[in-house]
Amino acid sequence: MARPDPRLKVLFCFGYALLVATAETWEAVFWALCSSFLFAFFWRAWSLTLLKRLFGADFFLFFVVFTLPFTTAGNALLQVGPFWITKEGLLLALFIFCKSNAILLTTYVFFARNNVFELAHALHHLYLPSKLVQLLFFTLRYLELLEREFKRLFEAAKLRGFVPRTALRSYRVWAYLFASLFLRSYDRSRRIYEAMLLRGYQGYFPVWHHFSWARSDFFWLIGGSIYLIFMAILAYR
Amino acid sequence: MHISEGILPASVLIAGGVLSLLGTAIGLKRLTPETIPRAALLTAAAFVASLIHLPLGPSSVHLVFNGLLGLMLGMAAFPAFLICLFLQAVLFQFGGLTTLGVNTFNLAFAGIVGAWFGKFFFRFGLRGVVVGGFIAGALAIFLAGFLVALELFLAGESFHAVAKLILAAHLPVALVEGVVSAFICLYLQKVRPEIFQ
Repeated sequence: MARPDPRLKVLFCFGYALLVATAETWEAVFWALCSSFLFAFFWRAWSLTLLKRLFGADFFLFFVVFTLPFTTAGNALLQVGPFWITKEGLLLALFIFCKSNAILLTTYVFFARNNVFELAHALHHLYLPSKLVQLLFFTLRYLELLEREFKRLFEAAKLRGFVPRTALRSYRVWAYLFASLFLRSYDRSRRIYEAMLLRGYQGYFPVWHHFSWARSDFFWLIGGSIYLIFMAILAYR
Repeated sequence: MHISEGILPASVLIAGGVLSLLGTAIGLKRLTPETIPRAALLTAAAFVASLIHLPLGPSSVHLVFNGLLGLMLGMAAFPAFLICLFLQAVLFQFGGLTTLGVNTFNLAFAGIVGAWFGKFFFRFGLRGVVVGGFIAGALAIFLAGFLVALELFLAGESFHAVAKLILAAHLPVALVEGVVSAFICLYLQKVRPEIFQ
């Protein structure tokens, strides 16, 4: 089966995330979690990177999930020190945890392993403002380059005996490293602009490559729509 | 700190989305073909720099640079953070797609307000730049933390404790961000003052 059109993937993912995040019933969340596992199996996304990503992304969630059982009013289940864990709190924490991970998993399956430029391209075809797409495109294009630049700066500082510590002197060095990064990107952006002017830049990118709508995309479109409608019915009953 | 998916109620998500949409529209309007590469590269630099963890006691913090981007980009900080957060959601599954609006508003609005206060001091020479940089950096983080706490507060009574915890957690970060921003502003003002125009 051919891979779905990137535009469809973007629309489906946004729809899915909106539905799941605002869903109020357990059925919807359970179904969402199951299907996100299925997506991950179907597109062979399970890997160590995925688990690491999920764990990293759940960091903020831990803040919430670990405090909710203590702070929600309801039937007391268990006492920990001076605090009570409530059943309602535990359920709410689990509810949020499942919701969040279902969305995370799906975004990972659909986006993370793709070429991000393809994503920017799809957004362009979905009529996002041209300036915003250009910003996204330039940011993406220079992300890796600036990262290497910063690593070089940092390496140079370390070779000169810089050891990161919690101290004003140390923060000052960090600040100057960051400042050189900003300075370099600022100067580079002027050179980029001049180089683009020479090539006839007038504030927009002409797009040569267009997506072609394959026959299998009708299948994805219909399948995706049915799934989302089904989810919406479950979520807002 | 980014709010992740599935926590906030739809009303807060929509309000954040609408406010961010407005800010992004104004920010994009202000961008000219000449300033687009500049805004994009400074955004990329802030993105790269925000991935770096600085030691803080036994733990570590990463900076956000929303005050600094506010100083350098003005209203264009809205599209800048929209892109930063979109990339984080897509590349690292950090934050989320549905909370994009809320998180963008928190960071960009706080950054612009911080920058507005900080910029006032820039007219008083290099010492003023240090004070202004500190205020922009620290205020932007504190305000962003306050907005996150406020949104969690609105999400329901169960979240009140987390909201307070998060507000407290932002205080040391605001201090570090303020100090680092002050030095960055000092450096840039000496070497390339037009970056703050």
